[in-house]
Amino acid sequence: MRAVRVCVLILTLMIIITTTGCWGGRETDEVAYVLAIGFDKGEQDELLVTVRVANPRAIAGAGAGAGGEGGGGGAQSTLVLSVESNTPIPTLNLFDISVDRQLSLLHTKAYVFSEELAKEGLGRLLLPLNRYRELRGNSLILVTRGKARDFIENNKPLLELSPTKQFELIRELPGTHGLYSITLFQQFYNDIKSLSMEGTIPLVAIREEGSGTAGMGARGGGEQILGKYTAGEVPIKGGNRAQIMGNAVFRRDRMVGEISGEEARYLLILQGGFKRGKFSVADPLAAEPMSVALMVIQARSSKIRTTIEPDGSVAVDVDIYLEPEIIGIMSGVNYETEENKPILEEAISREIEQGCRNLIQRTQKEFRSDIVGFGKHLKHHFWTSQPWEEFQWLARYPEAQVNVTVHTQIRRTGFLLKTTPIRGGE
Amino acid sequence: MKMIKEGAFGPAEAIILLAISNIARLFLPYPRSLVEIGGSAAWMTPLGGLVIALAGVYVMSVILNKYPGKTIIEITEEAFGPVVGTLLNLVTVSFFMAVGSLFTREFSEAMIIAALPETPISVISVAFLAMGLTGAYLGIEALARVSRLSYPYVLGGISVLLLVMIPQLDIHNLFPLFGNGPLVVFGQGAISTAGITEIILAAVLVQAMGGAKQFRSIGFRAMLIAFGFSVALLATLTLSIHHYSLSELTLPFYKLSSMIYLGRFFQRVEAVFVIIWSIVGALKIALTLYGAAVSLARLLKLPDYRPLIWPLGLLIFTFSLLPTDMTATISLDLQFLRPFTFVPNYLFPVLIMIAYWLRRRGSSAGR
Amino acid sequence: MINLKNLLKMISYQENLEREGFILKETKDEQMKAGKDDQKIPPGKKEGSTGEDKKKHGRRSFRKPVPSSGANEQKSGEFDLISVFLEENRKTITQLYDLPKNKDVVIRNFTIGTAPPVRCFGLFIDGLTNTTLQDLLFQAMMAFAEQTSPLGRGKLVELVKESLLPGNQVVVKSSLRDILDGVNYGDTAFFLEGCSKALLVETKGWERRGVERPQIEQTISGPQEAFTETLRTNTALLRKLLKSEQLSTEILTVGSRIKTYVAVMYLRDLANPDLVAEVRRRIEGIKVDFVADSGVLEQFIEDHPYNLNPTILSTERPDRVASKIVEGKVAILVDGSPLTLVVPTTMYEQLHTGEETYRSWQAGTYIRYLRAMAFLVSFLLPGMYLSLVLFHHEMFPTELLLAIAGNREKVPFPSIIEVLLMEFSLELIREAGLRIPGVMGSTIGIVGALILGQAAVQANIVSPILVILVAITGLASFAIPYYSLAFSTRIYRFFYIALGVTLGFFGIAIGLFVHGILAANLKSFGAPYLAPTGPRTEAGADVITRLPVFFHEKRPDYVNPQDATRQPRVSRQWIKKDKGD
Repeated sequence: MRAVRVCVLILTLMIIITTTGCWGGRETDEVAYVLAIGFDKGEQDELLVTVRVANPRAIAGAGAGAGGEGGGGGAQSTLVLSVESNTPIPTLNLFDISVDRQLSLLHTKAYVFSEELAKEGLGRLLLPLNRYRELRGNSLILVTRGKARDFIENNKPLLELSPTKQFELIRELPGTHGLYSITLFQQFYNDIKSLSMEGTIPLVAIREEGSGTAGMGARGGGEQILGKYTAGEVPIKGGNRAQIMGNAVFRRDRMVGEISGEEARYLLILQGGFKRGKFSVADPLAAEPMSVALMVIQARSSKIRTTIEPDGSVAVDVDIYLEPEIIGIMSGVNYETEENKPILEEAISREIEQGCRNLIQRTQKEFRSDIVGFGKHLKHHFWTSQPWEEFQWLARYPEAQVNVTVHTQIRRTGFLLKTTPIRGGE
Repeated sequence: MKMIKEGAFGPAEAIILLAISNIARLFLPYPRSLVEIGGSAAWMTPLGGLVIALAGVYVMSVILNKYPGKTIIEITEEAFGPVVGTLLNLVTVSFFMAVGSLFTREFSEAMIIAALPETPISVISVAFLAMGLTGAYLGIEALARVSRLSYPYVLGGISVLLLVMIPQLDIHNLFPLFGNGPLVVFGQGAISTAGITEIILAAVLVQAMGGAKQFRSIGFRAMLIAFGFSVALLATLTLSIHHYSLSELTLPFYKLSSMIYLGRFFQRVEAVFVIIWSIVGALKIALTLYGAAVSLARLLKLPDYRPLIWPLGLLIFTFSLLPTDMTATISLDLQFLRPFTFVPNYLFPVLIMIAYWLRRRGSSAGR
Repeated sequence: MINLKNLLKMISYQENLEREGFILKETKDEQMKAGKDDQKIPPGKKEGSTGEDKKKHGRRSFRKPVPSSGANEQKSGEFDLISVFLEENRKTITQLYDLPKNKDVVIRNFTIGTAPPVRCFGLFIDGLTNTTLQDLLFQAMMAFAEQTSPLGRGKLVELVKESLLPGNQVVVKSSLRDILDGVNYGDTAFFLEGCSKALLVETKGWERRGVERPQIEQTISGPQEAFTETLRTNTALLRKLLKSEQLSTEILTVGSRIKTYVAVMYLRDLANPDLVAEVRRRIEGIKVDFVADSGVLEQFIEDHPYNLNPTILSTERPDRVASKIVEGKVAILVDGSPLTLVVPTTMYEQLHTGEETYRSWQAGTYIRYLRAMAFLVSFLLPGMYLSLVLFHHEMFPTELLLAIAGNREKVPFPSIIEVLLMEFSLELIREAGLRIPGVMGSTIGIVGALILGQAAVQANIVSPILVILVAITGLASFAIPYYSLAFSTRIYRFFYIALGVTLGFFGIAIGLFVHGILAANLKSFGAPYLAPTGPRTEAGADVITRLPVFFHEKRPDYVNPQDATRQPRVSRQWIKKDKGD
């Protein structure tokens, strides 16, 4: 009968399909998800690859079970493994034999490279990674001072239940303080191939126990600066020992230096990507050196105008528009009045201008790389790609003339409209 | 000669059918070659192609209007006589088959790279061909209705993708404005993007679409929609990813959809676009298979085209497995198929016009 | 001695001659048929075909069984005429109905009180007739018929019909077949001495269900009446809604052995005459023994019997049928069935209920969109979940994926088995729920669903996400108002599961394409199944987004009625303010 024959055909098809396996359908319990992967220079081999693998059973158990057990009940919510090998991707197969599952990079949120590797050049590592199908272009890329393995092992976020949340939050945070400039994998990959700007990568480090507050780049004029540290130096006691602050500066694909948290802020302001952050500025009218705390908001994107002289030299004018809000005056000076406000604004402008100029000086003289991205605005002067490529902007950057002007306008003063001095007996 | 029983559908469906068939190539490695040609001005490359395509539609509509009630197959035979006409029609049929095979191969490869890395390619090709066979068997009416049914999702999905990328666009990627030079961008780009199959396909389907009178407006609107989407997509591609690294990617559209990031929960949703791809691919393959079968049936004066579907489908499947690897397929596409598309789409109408004038001149001289 | 005999009987072997019991042997006719099949084997086959071959041939030819008493057909041909003699008629009737064994049929002999008195007998089936009415008839003929009758040939019947029988539908019949048909359906037949014609009086009155609330299609607003099993009641329910002289009811009969009456109702000046002719043609072209229900009739006349999607709408609400007749469609009512068929129909129409019509358009639009999503969810959700979990892990947000993975670690089955287990249990619960006696119904529903699901999760047989998923799928398929369409999605779900497991999202896309193209190809009595999106006909005002009532100016395009406009452009004339007032 026709119906019977059709049924037999369908059944045979189904049997054929299901008994030969389902061509690549992998159950979630056959796969191990790598949450963060780190690359170091190996001692015997080329690379030391470290992975942090999620343990879903512990995560689900910690969430669903009675509270209090957390990660101390024996099952850890992640595992950390490392091995030495030659190339980044085939190492995953080496891990497979230890974890007994297929490692998958589908949910890797952070790629961590050590300083050493970065100084030698990241290109040969990034190129194979970009071709891999499972890579997420949206993941973070980080450079650590010290070894990546130490960072991954010691990075224990205490407030998050899920280990990946930390990296997602890291990605969102520069919007609130700007102490480091986030770079996504895809972005950095573009930057190392681009002719108009160079890339930067946020710096992370593990704070050593008991180290002092030795900071880099102690600058003259104002110990009141908030972010004068780079990662690993902030003297916070307790909590997660991993810190992220500051950026690593690259030329082509090699790391050529670091900038501290404050300088990262200036970088963001120059690029127009700074949203808001709490600054502290030296109080101009106070008797003793004190600081005024401000919530600085970048009102409009920075305006960058470029001109190319006929002899090939480049002049860049940057206008920055800031709108701070006063959030704390330690000295008690009444800055909310009409006369005092402009003084404060002037002080802010000068300080930020100075900071930006110092940063640009540093990028021009010390790093010789255009990390702000002035080249992008320079492209507008050219009609076709040929002359732009011949112009070789990145080689000319150190000679360019950059002027920075900051316009500040204090908008709001918070809950207090007036500060009255403290009175009382002696 | 008995008329082949074709369905009928209105201009709205015809426009959508042709537009979707044209957009199909945007999901494949094809935009990458456009970015190579145009550099940062890749979005301008379809503009020249649009002009050429509109001209081609116009010429074809003139020819079709001169012979109302006939499709291009019969017109070619009439214009050139039985022997030469049949040869030219065979070229048309083989053109449809070539497009079908290459697209099957490229769509299957794209599917493997993007979604199903461990599935053997024959399975995916068989699936595509099964869909194409079903579609071609059920007739052009059913295909038109399905395209009408799915176009909100296809075109809407693409639009959503383009809009959602707005936070990640960088306007500076568009400069230098003319990329590799206006001559290269418009000239080479036009030649590359004008290589479409829809003109000859519409000419074969012209009776089902409502006759030659509507051909011009249907063709114009379909071309505008399709090329408009090309421009928008290429613009978004260039704006999000710098053209230098864009020219490395195998599947630019897939990469674009994998960059979507709307907060912690809405990322890496490119699997949804796999659905859009598959439907567009199935439609395209069904259309080319249908075109080949109908052209062959009209050529051989058969009363029905349905018996031809199965052997032609099998041939398409076999040919699709012939190229050795992905790079061979892509180079075959660029170097063989693109020039080949000019033959039936643009060359034949011009030849027919010439033959028509010669004949008219001959007959008027004879009076 | 007796005890010894009993003892011996107990320990000895008693053959049980009755072990096989009653066997239903083939009747003589069927044996004859099998013999005829042998001769039907084409000469090309070799001789000595095995019994298997014979059986195959027997099965291949779809032969409809001829009633085993085929002699009856010949007989009724001879006896189709009514005899003039009362005795002969009585004998014929007794033979036909197998009296006196067949106790349902009653022959009442009486004399009509005319002068001279005429002998006659009444024939009816006990239980099918309205006894009050019959008493009136007998009373009228026996007691009040005192007048002289012109005893001319043939005039007696006329006299009785015109003056003596007070029934409200009296017909004179001369064919015995018609009389029998009438009596079988509840009419009373009167045979008169000396007349070759008989009278049929309509006295139908059997126990029937009253008009109740709809069981399947409940709405909050709108009329709450439903069709019953009696044809006349149903036509009356429609008539009282559509008070027009243009409403025509054509009654056709279907069934060769048992006649079933089918009423076709439509508006004469609105419905497309081609459509009515086609409906008539299809119903009259059915040759079948017995049509039990409108569902059986539906399967006989539908365009695409092999496709899962229903192409004919069947409903139990008269208000719904009435609104569709006013759109220009044709309604088919089958006697004995509380469901009415309406043709032609589209898929979008099957997703409408009265909620949207009788309430505001905003509520209607919202409900429609919800229902559209439920429709998609009901067959796509398990397949998509499987393809996500097996092939496309990257689509989940990482925390969700880790939660799912964590829960799945404890489950011993692969995902596909889990899903199939849960689907199977849900289908079981559904089927069982239909048959549980009302008293225990809700309890077992709670037991089945809740405890089964909860216990399964705690026993780590399924993961909790899957329970939620299957429950949502089940709920979504209940949200589809039309039962046949919901049923078809239940079956499609399994296809999508199979496709999703083997080929991931590509498989889902294949399913969508093939599903869409098969559905787009369907026609329902000439109307495309997916109008108005399939072929782009004029956009109706009421497909998914429901426009306010005063915008519904045109009838749906695919019906092609005789008059396409149903409202003028300004249907709320009270809006116009008088100028100059």
